[in-house]
Amino acid sequence: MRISTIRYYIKEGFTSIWTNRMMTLASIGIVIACLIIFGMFILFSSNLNYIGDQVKDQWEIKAFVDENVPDGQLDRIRLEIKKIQYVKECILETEEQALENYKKQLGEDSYVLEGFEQFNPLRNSFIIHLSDVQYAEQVVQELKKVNGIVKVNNHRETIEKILKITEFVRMGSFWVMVLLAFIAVFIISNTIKLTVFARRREISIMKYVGATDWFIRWPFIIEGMIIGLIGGILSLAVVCYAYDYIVNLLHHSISFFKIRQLSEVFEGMAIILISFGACIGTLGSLLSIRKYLRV
Amino acid sequence: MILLSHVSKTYSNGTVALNDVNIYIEKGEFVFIVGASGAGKSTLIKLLMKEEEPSEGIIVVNDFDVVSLRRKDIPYLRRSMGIVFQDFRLLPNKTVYENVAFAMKVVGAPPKEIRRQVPFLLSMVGLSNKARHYPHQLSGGEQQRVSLARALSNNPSILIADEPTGNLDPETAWDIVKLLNDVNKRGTTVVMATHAREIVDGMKKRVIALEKGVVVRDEQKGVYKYEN
Ligand SMILES: Nc1ncnc2c1ncn2[C@@H]1O[C@H](COP(=O)(O)OP(=O)(O)OP(=O)(O)O)[C@@H](O)[C@H]1O
Ligand SMILES: [Mg+2]
Repeated sequence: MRISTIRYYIKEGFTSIWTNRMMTLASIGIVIACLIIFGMFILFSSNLNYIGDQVKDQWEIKAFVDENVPDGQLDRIRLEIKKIQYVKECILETEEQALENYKKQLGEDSYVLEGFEQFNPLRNSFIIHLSDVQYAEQVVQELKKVNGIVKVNNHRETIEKILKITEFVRMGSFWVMVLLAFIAVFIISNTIKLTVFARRREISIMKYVGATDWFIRWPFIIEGMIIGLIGGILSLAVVCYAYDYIVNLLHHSISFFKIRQLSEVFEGMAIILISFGACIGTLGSLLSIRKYLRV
Repeated sequence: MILLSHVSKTYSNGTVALNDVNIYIEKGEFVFIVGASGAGKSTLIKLLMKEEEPSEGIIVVNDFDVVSLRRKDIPYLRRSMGIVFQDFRLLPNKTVYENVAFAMKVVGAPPKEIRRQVPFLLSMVGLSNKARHYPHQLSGGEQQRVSLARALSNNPSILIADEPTGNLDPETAWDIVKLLNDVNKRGTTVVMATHAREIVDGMKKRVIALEKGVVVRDEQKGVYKYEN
């Protein structure tokens, strides 16, 4: 392809954007609206993923040691536990540490635990991580057989439920995003169609003097791409600004889970929104001229 | 080279525009197509450039089997011929200069050649001083001449002109026909549909007469019409 031909495509694309500026603005508005919703879904499901991972990481089995077992036996119990298949890690949490942690969790209210140091009601325990979550039940049965262990806590069911929900929401938002992409392309192609309709005679004349379909398409592709790029950049700004605001709000109210900071998601967000904007702009543009090329 | 064999065209509303037309035009010929309004002249031209499909028959233009030509090859058929349209078909938002230049850009002509060729063509049709005008700022005859300049821009092997003198005064009309004759002398096949009796009679070229879609006369050195 000639440089002069490429220059022609670009010039025509920009000229059309300027000549039809009202339509350009309308299309950019539609791209922005779609991409903002799109971006929010991405952030939502990305945070769900993140929380799901945290849940998986925090998942652990707790095995409590009988109060009557002397501290000298703790090492023996630990070794026995480590021998059980699928146990990856086994950490001792002494009763003192347990009390400390408990205090930390209560924060300002920890004064209610004052004085418990002498008669610590908590027990020594082992925190166990598995190499494979699947075998949790089997491991729990083995743990109960270990001499000195009185109680085994396993929150597997609760955690599985949470993971199932996040998975469900994630799939749901994936399909919502696919649907949204279709809607965006459809609306944009119909908006651009308004100007294409006004130019249908021009398009037919081009074909009568021997222009190929691609020669006619390229300026439209460039036009759609620019509309999509502008929409992508503007929606990125809106989404990031809003997200930062929300993160700061939630920061004070949610301490149970961490959510992603803007800086962590910005790059991925920028790539997705801008390239997605360019894609729907281009696709919408291509669809809108299809009909008028058949002369 | 143009060949039409048993070509008929019935429009979707039932109008029979052409009926069993057989025409063979050799490379380098100069041919007038005459006939009353509605005789089917423009329809014939539209079939040659595959703007319309024939209902029946075989059409060959240069090396193209027009009827069975695939959609993506149509541009190359059209590039092999230059067409002056009865309704001009100029791009409304491009100047005279840009309209002619556009036809050259479409075929990928180098910018240098475009800058050389377009002013030359415009001076040939006498429109050098209107190069920066838009089509709506031109008279009918001027638009027609832009259409002619555009048709000649890529040195086509066939030039088809649908009433290229229809809106011109007799003097300008003769200038245009002489121009077509010059183009023909350089080897281009010229097919001209026209109502201009004086021109047809004066040129003494091959005349194909259509009447209600039927070829009623096809003769060398013909005239517009014999008096009954
Ligand atoms: N798109 C169309 N649909 C239906 N009928 C048409 C169409 N185009 C032309 N016709 C009819 O076909 C016949 C031939 O038309 P055509 O335009 O070929 O005539 P023409 O010889 O070029 O006439 P003129 O000298 O006035 O330009 C006419 O009766 C016309 O009404
Ligand atoms: Mg006609």
